[in-house]
Amino acid sequence: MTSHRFAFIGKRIVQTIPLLLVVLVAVFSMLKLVPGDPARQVAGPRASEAQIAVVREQLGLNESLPAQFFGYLSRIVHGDLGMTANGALHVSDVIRQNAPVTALVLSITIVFTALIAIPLAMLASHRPNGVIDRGLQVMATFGVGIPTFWMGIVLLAVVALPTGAFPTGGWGDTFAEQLRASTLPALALSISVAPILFASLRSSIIEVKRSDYYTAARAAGVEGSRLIRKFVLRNAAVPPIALLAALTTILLSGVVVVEATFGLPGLGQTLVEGAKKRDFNVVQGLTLLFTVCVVGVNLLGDVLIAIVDPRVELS
Amino acid sequence: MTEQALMEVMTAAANPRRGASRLRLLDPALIGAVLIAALIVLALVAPMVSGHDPALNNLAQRLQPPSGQHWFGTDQFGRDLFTRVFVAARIDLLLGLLGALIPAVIGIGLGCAAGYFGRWVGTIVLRLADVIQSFPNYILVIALVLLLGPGPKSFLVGAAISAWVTYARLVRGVVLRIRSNDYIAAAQAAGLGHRRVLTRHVLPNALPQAIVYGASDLVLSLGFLCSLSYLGLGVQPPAIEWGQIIAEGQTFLRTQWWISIAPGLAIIYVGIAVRLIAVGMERRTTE
Amino acid sequence: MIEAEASTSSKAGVLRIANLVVQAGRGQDMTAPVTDVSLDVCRGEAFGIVGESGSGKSLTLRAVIDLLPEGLRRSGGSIAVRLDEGADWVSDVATLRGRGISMIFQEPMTALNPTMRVGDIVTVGARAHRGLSRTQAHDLAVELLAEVRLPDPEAQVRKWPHQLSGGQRQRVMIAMALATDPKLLLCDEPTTALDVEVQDQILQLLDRIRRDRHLAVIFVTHDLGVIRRLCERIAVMYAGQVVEQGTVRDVFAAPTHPYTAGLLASMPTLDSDPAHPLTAIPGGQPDPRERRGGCRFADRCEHDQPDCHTMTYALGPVRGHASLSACRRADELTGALS
Repeated sequence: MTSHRFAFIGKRIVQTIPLLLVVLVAVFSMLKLVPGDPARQVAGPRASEAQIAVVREQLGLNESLPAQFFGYLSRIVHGDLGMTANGALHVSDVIRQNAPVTALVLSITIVFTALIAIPLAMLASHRPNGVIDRGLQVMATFGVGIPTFWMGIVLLAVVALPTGAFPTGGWGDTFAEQLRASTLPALALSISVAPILFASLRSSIIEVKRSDYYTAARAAGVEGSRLIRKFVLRNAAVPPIALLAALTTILLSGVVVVEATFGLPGLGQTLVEGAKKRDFNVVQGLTLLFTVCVVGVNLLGDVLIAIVDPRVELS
Repeated sequence: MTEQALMEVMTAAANPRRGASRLRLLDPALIGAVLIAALIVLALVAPMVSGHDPALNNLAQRLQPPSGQHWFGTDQFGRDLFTRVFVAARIDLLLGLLGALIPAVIGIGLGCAAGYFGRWVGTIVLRLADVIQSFPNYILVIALVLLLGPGPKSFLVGAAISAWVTYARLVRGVVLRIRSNDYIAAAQAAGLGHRRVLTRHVLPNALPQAIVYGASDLVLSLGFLCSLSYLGLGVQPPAIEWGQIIAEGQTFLRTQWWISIAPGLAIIYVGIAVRLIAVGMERRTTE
Repeated sequence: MIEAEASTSSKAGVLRIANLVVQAGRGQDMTAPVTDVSLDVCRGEAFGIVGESGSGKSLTLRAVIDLLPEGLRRSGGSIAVRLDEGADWVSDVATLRGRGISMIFQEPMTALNPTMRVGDIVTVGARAHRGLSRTQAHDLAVELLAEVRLPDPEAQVRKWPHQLSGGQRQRVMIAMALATDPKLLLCDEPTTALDVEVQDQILQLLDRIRRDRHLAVIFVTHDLGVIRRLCERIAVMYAGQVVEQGTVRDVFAAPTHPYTAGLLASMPTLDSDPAHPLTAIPGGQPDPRERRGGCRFADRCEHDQPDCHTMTYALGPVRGHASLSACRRADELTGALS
């Protein structure tokens, strides 16, 4: 890699920091926007005024806003996301406990999505606007229109219940059981996400195949896997990578829903329960986590593009 | 970029091949409009048509399969499903529409401003867009539910905060492109105020693309609303809503699957109809 | 089938196109941008195909290497290539890509893969066919870049296309074409997209390469200046057909088709009389979907007669000339056309 590209990557990392700061401010403000007195709510309905005052001191609510923010920042940096509403657990522990579930489901979803979208995009771009291409496009449009949770229910009704091959809910203890529990949720989610990747990839492959350099390569007798590897994929991959951020957003949103449908004890369910029980720290902590993930993936995408596309330089 | 690729796929999917000139006569926008109109009509008159009250419990008749008396069967409280599904359409269509319309207005406005006034107005809007897009939709709305409580309010506020971004980017792009056109400069040279230039010249060019995207957004908005209600964070009982019905029916999926399936089909129905309208309109704007 | 005088029998023929038809679309929407094109090219010869855009000249070239764009296909006639004397004529031309036939394209800015280094681009075809190692490929790339007169080839090999100018990229494209040691080089408007000074250099380069390597080259262009400079024999195309074919000297001095005459008259030369205005040919090529019978140029021709609009005439010899012409009145018109 040339030094130019290192510089670009460095620049992008630096550019992300203000974004992260704004995100932190936004998430921090969430708590401040809650109606009512947080100290009273944390202390409980039967607390006395003195006890509430103590809690208020504990929560640092008597200090100025900037001080509170810095307090919040330093706690975040130390991994302290506060306690759950019932005061029993550290939010960070809860997250750590439930994260593997979500991570597994997301991983399998990504695999499924790639397995669906990439071959189909290559198939569709083989003969643009041909019968197969049109058919796939119609299916893609369809896939996006089906709500993820309903797709999950359909899968339950059509696959899980009749065959019993997949559990209708819950997680497992062994890894094998967990894989099986993740399959249908991941499938439902990837059916919603794959059409987007498919559309983008198909579009960029077609554009590459229409390009002069592709024709020139064929004129030089380059064919088969060499042609696809060096001329098509390397160039066609860039727009989909740019999509990565949007896809991550959709995936993270979708996993919340899918965990609810299949009763998976992951971060999504934690979040929803937290919202229902008015557990501020949980919701705040998870919001922060998910958002940082999106920002991180965005950055990763830009770095990837810088690696793949030599035209990306310090402007 | 996602939206553009998707739009391309959508329109191509609906456009007939070059030789099939007959299909061209069927205007998708018309078909779509008819489908929606039919749904609206049924939504308004469903209780009268079916003769059932959507809220009436009738435990003797609970969990009946579709029959002559109950066209879609009944749910676990013996309520007629047909009526419930179509009455739910009122809320779903209305909120779904608002969930796309409000962000559209905000987004088009901000996008126009960003493209037209340029410089730091544009930069502010873009940075704001970046920040907002970092928050996954559902997460944002769930956080809002925490603050505002469950219900349509959270959904609409969430949509207003997060969904305007694509409209803004789209419109800004259009505006930037036509800003370099001479007739904008001519209008400004002629002394027309900003507002005039914007409404007369800029907006008519920016709107078509925004509307076409808006159709796609409407489908997403509807899906979002239903998902939220499914989670229990959206429309609350006793209001009737599709996602809610689906959630209630999930327990009975093994034997009385129609409860959960019917509303889903309704959602897909609306999705197809709206897409057809979008395709028809896109065809018009490119001719 | 037109036998182009004695050319393929006395000298060694390399390319033989007979009655080529290229079609687009299907059913009612079908059109034929190229109809009944026949021509022959000999070893080491510089052959030019000249015509306006839309005349079908580029498509003819693409058909030779079987790289017609989406939606277009060869539907009639035959194409045969013979790369070495004494070898058989090959009609599956696609197999000869990079194995004897090479092509260079009009737009150097977009013809090089932006995600590959210059050296890799140049040798990608050669590596595919001759299994060269990395070092061998590297050496070959340096050698070729020197041959196309790119300064400091060792450094250029590692560069990315976007770091080069248009003229430099065109040289790289030529190097890429030469890497597979072709016997027949197809050039589709190689200089049209370049600056004037660069055009000159590239033309010189192409001429020299042709002579050094004893290549048969086909130049497709709309620029008569390029033709006059580089080519020995030419075919003039109009509306999908060849309307005149012959040596450059003959055709330029004594055109045997009204269209050629018109083209020549509209070309400024150093010895043009400033008082004599350049004449443009009024009108434009007919829409391929609206072709009726008869000569396609008849509507714009100033020598047309009623029969010209109904009777077609294939390329044939003209009395007193060595060129072939598709004009049925060629014999009568010879004086009037020069």
